[in-house]
Amino acid sequence: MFNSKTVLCGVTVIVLEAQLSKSELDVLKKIVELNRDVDFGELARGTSLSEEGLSSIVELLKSKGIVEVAEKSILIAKTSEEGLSYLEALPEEKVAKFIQEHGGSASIEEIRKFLGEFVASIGISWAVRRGWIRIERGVAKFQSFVPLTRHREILALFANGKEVDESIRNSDVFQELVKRKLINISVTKQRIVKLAIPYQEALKLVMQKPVASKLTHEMIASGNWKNYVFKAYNLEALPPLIYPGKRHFFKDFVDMIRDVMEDLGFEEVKDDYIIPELWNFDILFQAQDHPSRDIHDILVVDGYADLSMYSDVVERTRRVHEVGGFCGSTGWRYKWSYEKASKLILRSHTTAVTARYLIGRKPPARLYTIARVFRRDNPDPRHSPEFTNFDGVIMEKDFNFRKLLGLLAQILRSIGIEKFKFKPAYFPFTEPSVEGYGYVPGYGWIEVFGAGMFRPEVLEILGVDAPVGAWGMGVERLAMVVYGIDDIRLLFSRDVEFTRSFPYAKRFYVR
Amino acid sequence: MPVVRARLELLMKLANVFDAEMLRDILFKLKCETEVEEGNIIAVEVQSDRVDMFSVEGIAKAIRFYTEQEKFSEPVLKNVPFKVFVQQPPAKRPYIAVAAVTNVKLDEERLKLLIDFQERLHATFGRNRRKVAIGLHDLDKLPSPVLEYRDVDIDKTTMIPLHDFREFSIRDVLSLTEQGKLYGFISLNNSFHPAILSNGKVISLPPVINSDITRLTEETRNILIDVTGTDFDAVNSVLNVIIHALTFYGGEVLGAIVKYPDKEVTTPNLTSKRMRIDMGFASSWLGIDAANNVELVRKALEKMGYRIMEINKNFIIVDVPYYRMDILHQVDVVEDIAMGIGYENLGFLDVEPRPIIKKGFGLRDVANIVRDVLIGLGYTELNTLTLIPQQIAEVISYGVTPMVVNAPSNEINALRTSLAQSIIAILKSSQHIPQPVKVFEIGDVVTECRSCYNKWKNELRVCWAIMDSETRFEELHASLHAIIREFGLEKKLVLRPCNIEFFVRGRCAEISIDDVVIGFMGEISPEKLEKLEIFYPITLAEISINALQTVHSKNFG
Repeated sequence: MFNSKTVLCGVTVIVLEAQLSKSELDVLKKIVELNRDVDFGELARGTSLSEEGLSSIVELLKSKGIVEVAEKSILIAKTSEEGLSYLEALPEEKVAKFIQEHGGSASIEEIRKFLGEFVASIGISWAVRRGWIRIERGVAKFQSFVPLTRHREILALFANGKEVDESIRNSDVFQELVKRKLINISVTKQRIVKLAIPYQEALKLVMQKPVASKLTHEMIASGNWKNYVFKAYNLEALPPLIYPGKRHFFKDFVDMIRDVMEDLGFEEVKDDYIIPELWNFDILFQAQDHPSRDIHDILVVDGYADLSMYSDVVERTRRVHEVGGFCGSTGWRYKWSYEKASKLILRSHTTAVTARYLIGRKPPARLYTIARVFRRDNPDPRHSPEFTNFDGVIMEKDFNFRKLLGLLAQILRSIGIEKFKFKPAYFPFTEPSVEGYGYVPGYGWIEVFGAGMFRPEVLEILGVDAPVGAWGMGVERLAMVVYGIDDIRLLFSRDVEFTRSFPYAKRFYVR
Repeated sequence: MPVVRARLELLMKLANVFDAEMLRDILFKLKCETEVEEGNIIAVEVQSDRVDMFSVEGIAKAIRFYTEQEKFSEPVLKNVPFKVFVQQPPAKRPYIAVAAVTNVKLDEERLKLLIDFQERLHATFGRNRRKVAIGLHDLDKLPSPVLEYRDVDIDKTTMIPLHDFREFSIRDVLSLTEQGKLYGFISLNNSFHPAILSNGKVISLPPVINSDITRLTEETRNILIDVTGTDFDAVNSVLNVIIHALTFYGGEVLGAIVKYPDKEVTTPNLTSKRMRIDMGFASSWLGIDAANNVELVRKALEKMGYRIMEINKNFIIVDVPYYRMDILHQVDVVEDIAMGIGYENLGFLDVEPRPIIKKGFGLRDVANIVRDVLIGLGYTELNTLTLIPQQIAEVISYGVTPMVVNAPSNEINALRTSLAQSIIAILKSSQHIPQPVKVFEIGDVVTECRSCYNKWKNELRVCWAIMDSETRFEELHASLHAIIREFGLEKKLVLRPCNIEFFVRGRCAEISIDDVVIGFMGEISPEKLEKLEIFYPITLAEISINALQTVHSKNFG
C-alpha cells in the first residue's frame, strides 16, 4: 500500500501514495484548511461527522501515519452560583466597608442585620482572617482594607466555564476561590489531532482522488467513476471457501460402466429389491438347500409372493429341480417347495434381474443392470450389507464360451484394464464358469467379475432355446481399488465433506 | 469357499510337483486360488463343487492327473465284511453308508489333516452336520463287524464319549458335551436319538460324537468310516470322497451291506458313472472344433481325471470317477474339457457390436436432467443405503416401513420408504462441516403395494435438502421451479398445503402437476430435529421420478 519513494534532505520521508477513501480525504482536508492542531470536538463539527464516525476515520489516518492524536487532560473551572453572587464584592469586603462607613466599628448584630446572616458570618470570619477587623466583646473594629480585585477578576473570568491555564491554576487566589467553593473545577480529556507529515505533503494528498473499492453501476452511469481511483486487490489473501455442486464419484463410476455397456449394444433393465426366492435362486437352478440360501447369508422380509401369474415358470422350475427336466440333467432329486420359492427376500445378486428378463424371450438379447443388492453382512471396512452389483446377459443363437471370454475381454479393456487373466470357477447356475482377474497398477491383481454360460437346466427353466452368457461384478470393490479407498463405508456418504472434496481429476484413474 | 491348509512341502511331496510357482499355477487352472502363509503353509481355496478336493490328498491327486503323472483308476473293493442292520431307519436321519480303508499310515500331521477334512465336509456339504455327518473309527478297535443303526432311548442307553473313559447316558452326552450342545438338537426325536452300535455298544452317536472305544490315534492303521444323513445320494457321495482321500496311500477298501427294511445296498459304490458326451454339443457350447481335435479333447479329459472309453467325431463315452458328485449334465464334463485344454489356450472370439437406437425419454433421462439441475444449483450428490435403522423411520415416518426380519444389527433393520429418511440421517452426522450443507440424491425407495405380486414396489425418487443456520424455504421453492421448468411443466406446477407430520404445520407443500401428486417439500419440524439431535434447520423436498416421467410423457408424448 505504501511505496517508499524519496529521501529528502538527509531525512527519510515516506512519501505516501496512500489510498484514501472519500471520508478520509474530507477529514484531512479540514485539518489542512485549519492548518493547526485541532481538537476532536471542533473537527467533528467542522466535518459534520459524529465523534464516533470521526474517531474511526482518524484511526485510519493515524494507522497510515498521516496524523497523530494527542491526549491532554485539561482543567475546566466554572464560577459557582455563590461565586457569581460575589462578583461585585466578596462578603469580607462588604463587612469591612460597612464597618468603615459605620464610624470604624459595629456590633456583630448590626452587621448581621445589615448584610444578612449568611454573608455576615462568612464576611466576618474572612475579614478577621485577613486582619481587616478585630472583634472585641461582640464589636468589630476596623483595621484596614484591601480591595480583592484579583479575586473578582478571576470569578468573572470563569463565569462561563473555561479552561484554566497554568499560571492561574497555580495562583493562591485561584486555589482559595476553589477551596471556598466559589469556583468549581473538573478535569476532562481532550483529544487533539495534528498532522504527522509535513504540511506540503498533506496538501498534496488532499489533492488526490478518493479510492473506491467497488465499481458500481451508478458510477458508470453518472460518469462519476472518473473521480475515483480503484483500490488494488490483496492477492495473497485466500478467498472464502465455496464448493461446487458435485456429482458423486461413485455414481460417475457406475455411469461410466453404463456407457461401456450401451456402446456394446446392451439395454438396461430394472426390478424391485424385494423379490421371491424364485427369481433369486430357483430359476437359476440353485438347490433349495444350498448354503448360500441360508438365513445367515441373505436378508429376509416377512411374507410370501403371489406366484399365480408365473405358473409356467414355476412348473418348469419344479420339473427341472426334481428330475432334471428334459435337457438331460439329473436335477437335484429332491422335493421342490413352492412355498420356499415364494418366500420374499431382499435380492442378493442382480442375475436375479437379468435372468428374469430373459424368460420366454427369443434371441438375440443383450441386457444389463447396475443396481443394489443385499447380503447379511455387518458393515466393516471390507463389507457392506448393501452394495452395487453389475450384471449382464447375452443370448444369441450361436453364442458360446469363447465368445463370452471375448466379450469379457472387451468389457475389461473398455473400463481401462489392459492386463487380465481368466480362472476356472464355480457358480451354481453357470457351466463352464470363469473368474476374470484384472491388474490395477499400484495395487496388483484383483478379481473383477464372475461369469459363465447358463447351464442347460437354467435355459430350460427360463424357457429359452439359445445359449446365454452371463457375468456379474461387485462394483464397489473395483471402484475402491481404482480410487485407492480402503474403507467401503466411505463410498456411502457417511462423510459429506469427503464427498464434496473428492477432486474430479481423481476419477481419471487408469483410463 | 472352503480353504485347505497344509505344509507346502507336504503338498509338493504328495503331488510330486516341487516348483511352488508351477504348483500354484496348476491349482489356479483347477479353480483354486492359493496363498503361501507364514511358516511355509499353503492355503488353497477350493470351489464347493469339487468336494473331492476338500482333502490334501484329493488336491494332490487332481494335480497328478493334470500333470499326466497318472490316469484315473478306481480302488478295488476287496471284500464286504460288514453288515449294517437298519431295521427302523432313524426318523430324522434315515440313511447310512459304511466302508473301511486298510493300510492308512497316520502320523500326527495326517491325523490332523484328516480331522480338518472331516470338519470341512461337515460344515459345508454336510450343512453343519444336518445333511451329512461322518464318523471315523479305528477299525482294529471295532467290537464287531456287524453294526446296527437305529434310534435309541437316550435315558436307557449309555456310551463312553470321545476322550473320556466313563459311561454316560445318551441324554447326558447330549447335554454335557460341547458337541452335544452344538449338534444334539439336529436328530433328536423326543427322547430318542440315532446311534450306531457294534456288539451292543454304541460306537457312534451321529451327528454328535463318536465313542472313545474306536478313537483314532497316530497308531491307527485301518479306518472305518460311517456316513449318515438325510439324503441317500449325498451320504454315499461323501463316503466316496473320503475313500478317495484315504486310498491315496494304497490300501484296500472293505465294504458293507446295508439292510434297510425295503432294500439292501452295498456301500461304497465305487463304480464310475458312464456318460455319453455329444461332440457337437461340446463344440457349440465352447466354441471349439472338437470333432477335428479329438486327441486334444481326449487328453484334456484324462488330465481332469476321466477315463475315456470311446471317442470319435460324434461322441465321447467317459467314465466319471466315483468321487465326482458335481456331474449332473454333460455340460459339466464339457467344462472339464475346457479346463483340461486350459482357458488361456482357448482364446477369444469377437462378439459383433449391435448398436441400438435409443428411443423415447426414459426414467434415466428424467433422472439425469434433475441431476444436472441440482448440480448446477450447487448441491452435492450423495450415495446412501436403502437400509436404514428403524428408529429413523419412526421419527421421519412415511407410510408402512418394510422390516428386515434377520438384520444383523439395528442400524440396518428397515428399508426406507422416503429418501428423506436417508438424507436426514446423513445431515445428522454433518453438523460440524461448513454451512450451508446442500445435498441431494436420486435413488430407490421401497413402498407398500398390496396388489403387487411381491407386496413391495421400488420407486425412483429425488430428494434434495439444505441444512443451514436458518430455514431456506424460498431457495428450495425456487429450486423446485428450476427443475420443473426444465421439463416444460412450470405452468402446471401447483402447490397445496400438506399434512405430512414430520414437517412444520403450515410450512410444507404437496407438489402436483396435472392433479397428480408427485412429491412434497417443507421445513422439518423442530420436534423431529430435536429427537434426532439435529440442531440446525433442514428444508427438504422429494419428488418421484417415476411420477414426473409419467406426467411428462402425458404432456409431451
